[in-house]
Amino acid sequence: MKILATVKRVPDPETSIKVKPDGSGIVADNIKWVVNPFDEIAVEESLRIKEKVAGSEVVLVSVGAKVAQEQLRTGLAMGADRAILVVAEDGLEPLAVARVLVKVIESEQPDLVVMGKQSIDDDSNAVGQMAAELLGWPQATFASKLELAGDQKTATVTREVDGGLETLSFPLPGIVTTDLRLNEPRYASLPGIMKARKKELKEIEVGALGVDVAPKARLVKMEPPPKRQAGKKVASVEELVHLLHTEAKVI
Amino acid sequence: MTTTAYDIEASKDTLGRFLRDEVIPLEKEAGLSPDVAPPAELRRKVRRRAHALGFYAADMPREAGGGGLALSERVLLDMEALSHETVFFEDVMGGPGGPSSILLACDERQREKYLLPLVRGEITTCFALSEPEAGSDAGGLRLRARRTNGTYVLNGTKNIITNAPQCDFAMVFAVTDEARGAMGGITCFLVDKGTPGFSVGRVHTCMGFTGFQGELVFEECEVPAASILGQEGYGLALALDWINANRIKIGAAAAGLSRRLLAASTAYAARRRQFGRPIGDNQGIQWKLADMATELFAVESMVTRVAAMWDRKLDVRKEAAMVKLYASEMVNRAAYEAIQIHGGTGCLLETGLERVARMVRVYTIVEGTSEIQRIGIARRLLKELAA
Ligand SMILES: Cc1cc2nc3c(=O)[nH]c(=O)nc-3n(C[C@H](O)[C@H](O)[C@H](O)COP(=O)(O)OP(=O)(O)OC[C@H]3O[C@@H](n4cnc5c(N)ncnc54)[C@H](O)[C@@H]3O)c2cc1C
Repeated sequence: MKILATVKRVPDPETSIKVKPDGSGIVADNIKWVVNPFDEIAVEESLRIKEKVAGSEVVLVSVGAKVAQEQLRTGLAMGADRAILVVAEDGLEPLAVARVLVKVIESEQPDLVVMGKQSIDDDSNAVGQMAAELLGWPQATFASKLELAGDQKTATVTREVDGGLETLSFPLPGIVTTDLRLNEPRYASLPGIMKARKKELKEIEVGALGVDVAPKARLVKMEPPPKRQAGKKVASVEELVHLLHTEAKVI
Repeated sequence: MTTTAYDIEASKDTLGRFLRDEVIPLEKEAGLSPDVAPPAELRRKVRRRAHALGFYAADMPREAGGGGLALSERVLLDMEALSHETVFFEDVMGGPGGPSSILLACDERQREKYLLPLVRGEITTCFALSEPEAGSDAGGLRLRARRTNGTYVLNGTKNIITNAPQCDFAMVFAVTDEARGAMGGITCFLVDKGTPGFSVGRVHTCMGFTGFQGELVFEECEVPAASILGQEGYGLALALDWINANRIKIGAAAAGLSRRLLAASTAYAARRRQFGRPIGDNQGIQWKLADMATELFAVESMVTRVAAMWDRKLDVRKEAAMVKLYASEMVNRAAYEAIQIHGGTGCLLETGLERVARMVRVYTIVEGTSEIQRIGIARRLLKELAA
């Protein structure tokens, strides 16, 4: 079985993000970059399938700047077989990324595509859905459980939806996007990191794919969220209720 | 095959995650004290996991089941590991009870029995050199190994030996030829726990460490000649080669701990307000921070440079002594100043600073005291002049 998993380079959720003074973006220097946590879950899920289904291959794909090689290397160190980097300028819109992915998917012809439900930088939560639509493939988003039939022709996905769980079954190929509870990703072990060096990492220029990646929207301005006020200690429940009425005005 | 900067960054990343997400929570959950040796089964669990991730025995050769990292790479991981606070440090990276390059001198049988399981974290050892009457002067060992027909009989005591209470086997340095002494009269024996005549004596309570060190007592303990590591008379030669790498690793540990001290001190200096402003606005505090940072940078530079020399198989006896001397004294100064910057708060257990101060005190003593390092450095200088 061939599984394609997506990997996006994003700022480490632990680092503090600063907005540039002119509001044109975030300060990119001196921040740590990691694999989008939802993509890490996608890689892990793909590897678990590979471990179960003999002869499987896990291919990673990233769309972005050349430095995203590092995040693909991390995925390879976790155990993926090879990686494809579509070199493009950072910050492509979801539809553009979906179109690029569709090209890669058409040439790779995987049986299953596993993606993060969203990337933690722009939080669009759109690429998986758009790619499935463009391909005319079934999709199951926000997966908290993924099971394959014995013949690997159908997938059954449990989705986390408002107020409960929904179980979907669909024929493959299809696209699954991961939620937080799907699995706990493994670390890239030292031996894995050493092995990753010898694995194939192919680069494709986005221009060579012949898709329209021109932006349709314009970033007007970024602003940091308002600074949080320091907390306050209250002496009694009465005082708390009083302040919630008069100061916070929430009740 | 050389490692790239990215590989090392990725490894440090995994190490940090492993410590943060698994090791430290395990420690919290079990309610362990940072000073006291954890239960053996937890230590084994951490070792096995650390070996699977490639940290334990990272710098042992691949043929021996290790990670094959160069020392210059391993020290970067040591620095990272020690910038986290965990009682399991030696179970993650390996310590005196763990894989030791001395044991690369094992013969085929010893390799299967000791080296390979040790590298996998299944068993542990100890390096038993010091005795009640012989510390800095290793040539003055009293523990005798008397030769009988085909066997040796050990009599004597070792003390303050790290991992002696827990080890599965001990590397015991014993006198086989009194007349030769340090010049070919000392032999290293691999002795199994449970060998008749071999017992653990007192378990020490030591500054910063409880239950880690202990005595080993040998009373008419008979061992076969096959338990000799390498050749008879070559015990100290084995130890002295390995000790250079260990001294460099102490430098790395000192650097890792100092990073933690500096980060805590800088943050506290910015946060703590007295007389209406952060204490870090006072030059008196700024100078302490500047000195800590400068000395830390010096040690990081020394460690990486000397480790690279070691990797190129250069003679690093003088430089390894310099690293050990300077780094061990630096981290003690840093611990003192970190507590000073934190004031009374620094003395509270919850800041973790007094723990570091107690733990690093021994750094200027083990693997050769500061005085012994200075003697070694000066002797080499004078020898180089004469040559
Ligand atoms: C926590 C801990 C762990 C240890 N782990 C181990 C272990 O795993 N294995 C092991 O074998 N040992 C271990 N030791 C013992 C350690 O190696 C010795 O303590 C150390 O070598 C110093 O020996 P000593 O204590 O006998 O001091 P001594 O040699 O008696 O020295 C006392 C003082 O005299 C100074 N001195 C000695 N000779 C000279 C000289 N010629 N010129 C100037 N000054 C001199 C020393 O520098 C020191 O200040 C450990 C000790 C501790 C505290």
